[in-house]
Amino acid sequence: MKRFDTDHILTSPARRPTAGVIATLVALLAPGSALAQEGTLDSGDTAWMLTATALVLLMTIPGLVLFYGGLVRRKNVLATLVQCFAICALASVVWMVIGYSLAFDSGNAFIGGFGRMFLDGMEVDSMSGTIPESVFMTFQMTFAVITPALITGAYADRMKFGAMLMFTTLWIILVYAPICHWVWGGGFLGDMGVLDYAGGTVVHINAGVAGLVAAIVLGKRLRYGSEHFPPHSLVLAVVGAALLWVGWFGFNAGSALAADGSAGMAMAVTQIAAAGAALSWMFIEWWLRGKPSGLGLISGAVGGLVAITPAAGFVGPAGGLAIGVLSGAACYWGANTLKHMFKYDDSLDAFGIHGVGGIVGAILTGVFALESIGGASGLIEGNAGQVLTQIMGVAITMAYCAVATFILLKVIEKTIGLRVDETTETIGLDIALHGERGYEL
Amino acid sequence: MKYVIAIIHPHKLEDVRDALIALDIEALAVVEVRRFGSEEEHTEFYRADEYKVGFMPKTKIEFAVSDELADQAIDSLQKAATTGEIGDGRVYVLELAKTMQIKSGKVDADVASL
Repeated sequence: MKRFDTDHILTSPARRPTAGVIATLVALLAPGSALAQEGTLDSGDTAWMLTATALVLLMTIPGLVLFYGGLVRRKNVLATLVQCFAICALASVVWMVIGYSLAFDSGNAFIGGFGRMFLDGMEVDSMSGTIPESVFMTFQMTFAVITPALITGAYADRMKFGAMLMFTTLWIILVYAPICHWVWGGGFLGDMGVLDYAGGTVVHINAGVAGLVAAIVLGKRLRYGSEHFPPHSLVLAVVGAALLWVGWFGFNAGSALAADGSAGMAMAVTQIAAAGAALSWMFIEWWLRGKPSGLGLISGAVGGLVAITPAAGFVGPAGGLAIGVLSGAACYWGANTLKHMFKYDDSLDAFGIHGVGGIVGAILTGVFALESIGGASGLIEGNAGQVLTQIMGVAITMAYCAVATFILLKVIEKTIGLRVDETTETIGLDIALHGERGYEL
Repeated sequence: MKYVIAIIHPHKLEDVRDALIALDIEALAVVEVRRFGSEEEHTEFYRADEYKVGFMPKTKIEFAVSDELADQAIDSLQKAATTGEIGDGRVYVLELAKTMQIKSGKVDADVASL
């Protein structure tokens, strides 16, 4: 995502009438520029961002809902759908009330302010670059929705519903919004030069690490290891993954915040990386286990989409393919080997795919970034320092997210409890927690 | 009168039905079942989760047949259902006391089919 200059938010005439008028005058008087001026609405950009926002929402509902819903057991299908759907509603409200302000209000290097709570000052003519601030805010809202929804994959089958709601609310305020501010809101990671086009660190590493911590704090599912938990419907999972893939164009190409060449290149490398990763996971699995599985193919595609997310506006097609192929292999390792090595029960591989894919993608962005594409050079253009900057960004995000998530989960565990009782878990969350079944068959 | 229960491969259902129709056995009940047999297993894997599955999808068919036709029916069924491999299934033959047609309430002590 383009670095967001908080001054542009404040050019809302309602908040700073003088500055708004001046900015508008400057824009109108700038001679001979064919490009849209900052602060002047560009209808092409706005049309694309309205569309991209809907596409990112499509990733969560119904994309992630179906992807995760298909991967759980039949007795927990509805609970899994409901978790993602409820998070969609809850995160939107939390973002409106305080999240957006903490992420994008001008504050210090670590956190925004409280000045934009309840979207105070957002008027119909408030601008953010060349698009209305309302569009920018809603676009960002869909990111704040999908990030906690991704975490549900790690604690699937065993989290209390109330604890899940409380965790999501506090996590957006204490973890998501600050990290979003660090990278995109004028905070220190952006200032350090960390490249994260569409949310490799903010969304995927963040969700993956939080998922890993949640899986460890909650502990394994009952009878994990002695019983098997095959996905109850790979059909739903494939449909969900396909919707994720399509929606990802809004995620990555939308992060240009404009309908321009950067958006186009982001779209192209997104497709290339997803394809490369799907094929690399498929062929590795075929080679190592004798069969190319459908679940492997879609898992690879999602891994590639995750990995290209930070890189999308910075790398070219060749870099996109390399990131795809490498991330497919890395995520295969993350979901198959890493999990067994450390014996944690990350139910649907939120860390194995989003965490590992996000880390690989963030670091490889520092390798394959091209000056001519996104204005930043990576290792292949001789700038080894960018790799170190990326690693720093990854390490800081992981450390903060892990510590804050751990404390948050422990506080909830001590107050209302995190995990459902054994009977509930055995019966299944659908009937025990929601009083209904996914299927009447 | 005999009551025949057979567990067969799902993909052999049409062959078996045709073989039974050829003997004028024209009514049978069919259920999708899972059968556990320790000799027959296959491996499934879902990402890291790889395991042997002992419950195999099978089709269970049931029908009544007169004593005269019983041996011939079982023989035809076996020929139609076999692939010669493990997992072809099994036929169970039970004595059948009587049947009643629900529509008419007519009790029949010797029908060829149910």
